[in-house]
Order: sequence, then C-alpha cells, then structure tokens
Amino acid sequence: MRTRYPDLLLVAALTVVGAAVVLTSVGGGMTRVVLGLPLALVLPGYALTAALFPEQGLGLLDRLTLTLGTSLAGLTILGLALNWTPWGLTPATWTVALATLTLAAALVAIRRRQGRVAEPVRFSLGGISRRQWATFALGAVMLVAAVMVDRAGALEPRGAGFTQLWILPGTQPGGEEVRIGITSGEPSTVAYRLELESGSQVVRTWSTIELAPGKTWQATVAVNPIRPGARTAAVLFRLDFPDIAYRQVALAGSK
Amino acid sequence: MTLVAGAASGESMPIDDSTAAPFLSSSLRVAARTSPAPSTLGWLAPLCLLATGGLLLISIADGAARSGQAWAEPLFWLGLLAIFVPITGRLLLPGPARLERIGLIAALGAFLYLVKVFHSPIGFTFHDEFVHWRNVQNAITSGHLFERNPVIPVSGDFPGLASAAAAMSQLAGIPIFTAGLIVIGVARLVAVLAIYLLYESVSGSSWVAGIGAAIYAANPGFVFFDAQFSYESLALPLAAMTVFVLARRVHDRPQRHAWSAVAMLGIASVVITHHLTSYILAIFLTLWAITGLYRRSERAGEKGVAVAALLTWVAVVAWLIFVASLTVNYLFPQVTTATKQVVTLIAGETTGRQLFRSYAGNVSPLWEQIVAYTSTLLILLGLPFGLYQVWRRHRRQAGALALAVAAIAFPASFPFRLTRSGAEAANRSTEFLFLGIAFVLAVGVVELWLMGRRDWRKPALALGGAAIIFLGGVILGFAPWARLPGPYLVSADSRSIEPEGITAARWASTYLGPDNRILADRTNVLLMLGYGGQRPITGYGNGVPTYRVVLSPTFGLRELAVVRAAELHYVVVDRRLAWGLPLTGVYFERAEPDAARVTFPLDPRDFSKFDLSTSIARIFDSGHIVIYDVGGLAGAH
Repeated sequence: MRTRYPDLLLVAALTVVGAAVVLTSVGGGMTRVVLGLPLALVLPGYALTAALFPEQGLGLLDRLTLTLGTSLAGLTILGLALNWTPWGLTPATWTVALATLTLAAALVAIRRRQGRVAEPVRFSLGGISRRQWATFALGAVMLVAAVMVDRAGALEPRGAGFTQLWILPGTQPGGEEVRIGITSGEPSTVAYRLELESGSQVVRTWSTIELAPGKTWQATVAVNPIRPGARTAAVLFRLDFPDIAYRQVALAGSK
Repeated sequence: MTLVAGAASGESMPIDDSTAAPFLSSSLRVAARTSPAPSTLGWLAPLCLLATGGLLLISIADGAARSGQAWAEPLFWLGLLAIFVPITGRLLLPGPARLERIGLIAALGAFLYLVKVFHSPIGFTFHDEFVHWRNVQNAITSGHLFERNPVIPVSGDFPGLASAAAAMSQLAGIPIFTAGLIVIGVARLVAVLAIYLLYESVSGSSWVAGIGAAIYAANPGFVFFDAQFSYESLALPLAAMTVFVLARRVHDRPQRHAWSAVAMLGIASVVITHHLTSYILAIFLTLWAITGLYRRSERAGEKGVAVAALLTWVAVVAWLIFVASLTVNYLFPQVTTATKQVVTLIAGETTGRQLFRSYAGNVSPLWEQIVAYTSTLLILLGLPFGLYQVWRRHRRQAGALALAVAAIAFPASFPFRLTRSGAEAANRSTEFLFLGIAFVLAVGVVELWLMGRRDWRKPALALGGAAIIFLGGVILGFAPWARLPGPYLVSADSRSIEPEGITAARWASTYLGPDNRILADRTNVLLMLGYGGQRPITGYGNGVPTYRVVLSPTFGLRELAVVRAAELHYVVVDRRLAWGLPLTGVYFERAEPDAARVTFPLDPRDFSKFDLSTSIARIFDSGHIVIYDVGGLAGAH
C-alpha cells in the first residue's frame, strides 16, 4: 500500500535517529554532524510547513524557503524558551525540544493530510541531462579546488615570526617560585639563551634552548631574591644575535 | 510578454505565465507567453561552472593578497565579475524558465557568500563577528542567553543569532565558527529566495523577480557586511521571509491563516534577533499598510499587513522596554549626532567629510571613485522610470507601492554620507533601501526597456549598468584595505587579525584564566574577547575611559585613578599601534581624543611608561605585544 505521506514518515524517522545519535553520541563525530544539522536546520521547518500547508499548491521553492526560514526562526524562539527553563541550552534540551516540535508538527501534518484529496508533496527538478550533471560535477570539483587553494593560502605561515616569553608567579601563594615559558612562533627552529635575574643580577642561565616552530618550553624555578623586594625578571636572547635582548619580562617587585 | 486589457490604467498586471509560480496564474489575471525551454534548468549548470571559476580566481587573489602581491586586486575584481555578470546576463533574457531563474539567484547568493568565506576561511576576522562569537560562547558555557557582552552590550539583548548558532554547535558537535558559517549561509539562501519570491509575488513576473534579486545582490552590504557572522545577517533574511510571506498571504486567501502563522513566527524572530532590522520591518509594514489603505484595496490580505505592522510595533516596543532598553543609548546618540551634523552641513556651518578618503588619509583609486559615482548615478537615473512603471502597472499592489516608497528614500540618505557620524548609517541603510531600489529598477528595466522587440543590445546595456551598480556597491560597501586579506595594518579590523595577536589571546586564556578585567586596543579587545575569553573594559561598555591609560605619555595619578576605577587587572600593549594612523579612525574606541581625526601616529616611547613602575609586572612579551599585570596597583584583586 502506498502511503500519502512518505515525506513526513521520513522526517519522523530522521528526527528519531538524529535525536538518538545526538543524545547518545553513537556513531562518532561525522554521524552527529550529518544527523544533527538537519535536526536543527531542516526537519523542524519542513514538518511545520507541512502542518501549516497541507494543501497542494505550495511549490518546491516556497517549501524550501519556508523550511529553512522557519527552521532558523524556530531556533531563535526555541532558544529563548529554553533559556527560561531551569535546564537552559544544552545538547540534550535542544534535542528534546526540537524532536518534540518536529514530531508534533509531523503528526499534525499527517492528520491534516488524511482528510484531504490533496496529492502528496512531490519534488522534481525536471529533466537534468547527463551533460548538465557532468557540468555540475565539474563545478563541484572546481569548488573543492578553490576551497583548498584558499585554505592553504590562509594557513601558510607568513611574516617574520615571533617568540613568546612569559613569567608568572608560582602556584604556591607567597612562595618564591616563578613559572617561565617560551613558545616559538618562528618560521624555523631557533636556539635561545635565557637568563633569570633578581634585582638586575643574573641568578640562573639556560645556555641553549632549541625550539621548533610551535613548540613550548616551560620551567618552574625557585628564586632567592638578591635583596628583599628585588624584582625577578627574565631576558631571552637568540643565539644568532647573542648580544641583543630579544624578549624581556618581569614580575612586580614586592614592598 | 503581453499585457491584459486595462493594464495601462494600473488595474491589471503583466506576467509571463510560462515562468510564473502556480499560485500566480490562479490568483492574478494574466496573459500567456510561450517560452519553450529544452530543460527547466537551462544554462544553470554552465553558468555555475563559470561562477566557480570566478571563485577560484578569488581564492588565488586572496592568497596573493596575503603575500602583499599587487596583482591580487585586479584578479579579485575579475573573479567577482565572473560570478555576477554571466548569471545576471542570463537573468536579463526573457527565455529562462522559472526554475532556472531560481537556481541562478540561489547560485548568485551562495557564490557571493563564499567570497566572504574565502576572505576569512579559518576563523572570524570581522569586528562584529568576535562580539557574536563571545555571545555564543556565553550561551554554550552558561546555558543561558542575555549575558552582557563587554564590547557591544546591546548585542546580548538580541540573542536570536546566539541561540541559532549555539543550537547548531551543540547539536552537531561542531566549532562555533563552522556553526556560524552554516547559519549565515542558510540565512543567505533564505534571503535571496525570499526576495525573489517577494518580487515575483508583487510584480507577477519571474523575469522581474530574477533581475530584481540580482540587483539586490549589488547592494553595498551584500558581499561582505551582511555575510559576516552578525545579528543583522540573520535578521535581514528573516525579515525578507516575513515580507514575502505577507505578500503571498494577500493572494492566497484559502491559506491565509497558515501564512499569518509563518509571518508571526518571522516577526517574533526578527524582533529578538536585531534591533535595527526589526524597526525597519515595522516601518516598512506600516508603510505597506498605509499604502493599502490609500489604495482602498479590496484584498482582505492587505488588512492582514496592517495587523502584522501593529503586532510588529507591539513586539518591538515591548522588547525595547522590558528586555533591550540599552538599545536607546546605543542607537539614539548615533541618530541624533548624524542628524545634527547634517543640519550643520546644510546650514553651511561645517564642511562635509571627504568622500573616498580613509581615516588614515588614503584616497581610493580614481577608477573606483568613477565607478562608485556612476553606479549611484545609474540608480538615480533608473529610479524615475521604474517608479513611473510601478505606478502605471502595479499601483494596485500596495506592496509594490511600499517598495517604491522605500526606493524614493534612497536619495535622502545622501547628505548623511557627507557627515562623519552619518556615513556608516547611510551605508548600512542601503541593504534595506535596496529592497525597494532593486524592485523598482527591475520593473523599469523589464517593462520599459527589455520588453517588446528583441534586440541583443538592450540586455547588453542593462547588463553593463547592473555590473557597474554591483561594482559600485562593493566599492562603497567595504574599504579598499578591507576587501582582501593581507599583511597587518594598524587598527584595521580584519587586516589586524594575525597569528601573534591570536596566540597572545590564547596564552591569556590558558595561563591567566577566563574573564579577567583587561584593557586593550580595538583589535586586541576582539582577540581577548573571542580567543582569550577575557572581559575587556572599555569606556563605551563600562563608562571608564580606560584608553587614557595607554594613550597617555606618562603613567601618573590620573591613569592610576582610571586603573582603579576600572578595576583593571591586565593591560595589553600592542607596539604596532605606533606604526601608523588607525584605518578605522580609532586606536581604542570612538570616545578617545581625536577619534576619526587622528593626524599623528602614537609615539612608541609612550608604551614604555609601564616598564618604569616596579609595581607593574611585565608578564608577557611576544615582540609587538606586551601584557602588563596592573592588579597590584589598585588593590583591585
């Protein structure tokens, strides 16, 4: 027996499966993306449109526009409603709310269609020739190429590079420890020399710290102040320019 | 195309039956015109291929621009034209079937959206995007909306975008950036389809609708501003859908309750998503209702527009009073200042700002100025013909008259362009006014110019005009330095977002923890807000002129008082601010001295004042960016 609402049954099925995937995280990240996105952006609007317009006459374009538009509008309103619940906006509340809304709308749509002679909703793009499919496919390949070219260009490191040096008090309150760190954002591996000072006197030196791009070096060091209240500072040098202070940091002096 | 008898009196509507929507042929009296098409999609596939080629050129141009290559810019323009011209050229022809026109419009909207995506493909870079990114972060972290945003406090009171993006991110388990791209991409599709349907519903012609939607894509905000992750980019499509739904309701009496329900949903979502769009929607619906009354239309649907207008006003006012009262302080000063400047300009008490000159003194190339002026001139020249035709053939449609009135408002925005405060508002108003402008121009082009004897020169000329309007829109809508990515520029929003600043903000998030009270310049405020999870303290958001602390040449009692009043914990100093004048007109915010009138760059020696105080810790140094811990100064923490 042919059903008059296969579209709505499909919507209901996708909603249930999508909700289950989001709630249980079964199937991994890609499954969640594939089923979670329609749960937010397509299924609620489609069911709502079907419930409001059971009659024939709403064309493909109208249905598409209303499906996407009411889904987006529904998300803004539903978020507001969830905000006022004690549970707030969480993956679980979104899933339950959207699934309930979609299934309820689908049920209403089925009920409204039952009493009418209207034909089921049909989707057709007309005849697309093989040549057109081939052209679309070529366009898709070019689009992917354009995306890859653009992303590669955006991710390519440019400029002179930089190095971060930082100093923070130790995690023990009132202690004499300091945390020092270096992160290299340079385009190639760089060798550094780090000097730790107390009251302008070098109290410790790390003569060679080699860092590849993106790598971090950190240390927690106990510092005995050279005199009470002396400032603790760290000065970083690049070994290829050993006499020029490359980065400097300092903690505030105590009173 | 033929017209039914009496069309000249405005009592009938022209329509090409073969391409019209089913509802139109049943609800409007029309005459038929045959338009055999071998395939319903016609030239859609090859034109999409061409547009993809344009996008490929733009991706190459973006890459070259990032390396500072001068040839990137001509390639960018070529890519834009490769997207716009073939599609619009096809839409100008009478032959394409309705489905092909729809496909072309959807493709145009999508490809032009991708131009913005290609500009910043791996992260947010536009100013407002960081603000809304933080709103979504807050919604996901706390589970609740309406958290105050430190940079644009009013944005938190319009949580529609944060709600939609949080839903996407939480349901699909994707990053906020990806969720944002999808939300705005879908909204863009809704916008172009709704605008097409609106024009088709009002004009009764898919030819007019296709050309109108293509001209709408030529508005200054379309390629970049309304493609960014911002609340207007979502609200505008929802408003367009609402207007289309109400227009359709007029013709579809049997299903008017269903259309009303969708309209109510649309109005509610617009009101909670964006202040300005909701006000414009209320004004437009009121205009539509008034023109409907004036026409004494017998259509019951027009009364529905009046009810919708009333409900929109009620919702807008209720939201303003009970939820978003901050909006008054946000928008009102901008409007009053701009109006005052226009008045003084007209009175001759001041001279207008110099057009095509950036705050840093850069002047746009001559060809850009010529194209921009020509595009405005073409619109102004075309409007009277379109308005005449709207009155002659479509005045029975109150919606058409309302769109015509919106188009007439376009010249009124010109004086504002000459003022400092009004220029931005005038620029931003065009995405709303273009709803009317595009419709009126399309009616004029189709019904007065293209209809009748076929002559290839007519669509060619129209295409030339449309291309100039499109190029002019891009030129007027986005500053030359902002259209393409590229090397760092001082206080230049997307051009100031680069790895050193991003990693400094990430360092703050990791090592300082979230939500510290922090002072930074315009660019680092955004980075610290988005990547750093910090709480920037600004004069605008907190009422304390924190910018003085960095701009002052010394650190004295006055600066100490500001640090204490603002309860600052950290100060971010970006030494690159001294490299030049700020492209956006400000180093920190609009309240700073000499904002928009800066003539000398900052003195780099002013930054070293923090190093002279032993009470201030210099905790981070990445070369250009230094972070100071000033928490010890005030006993604030």
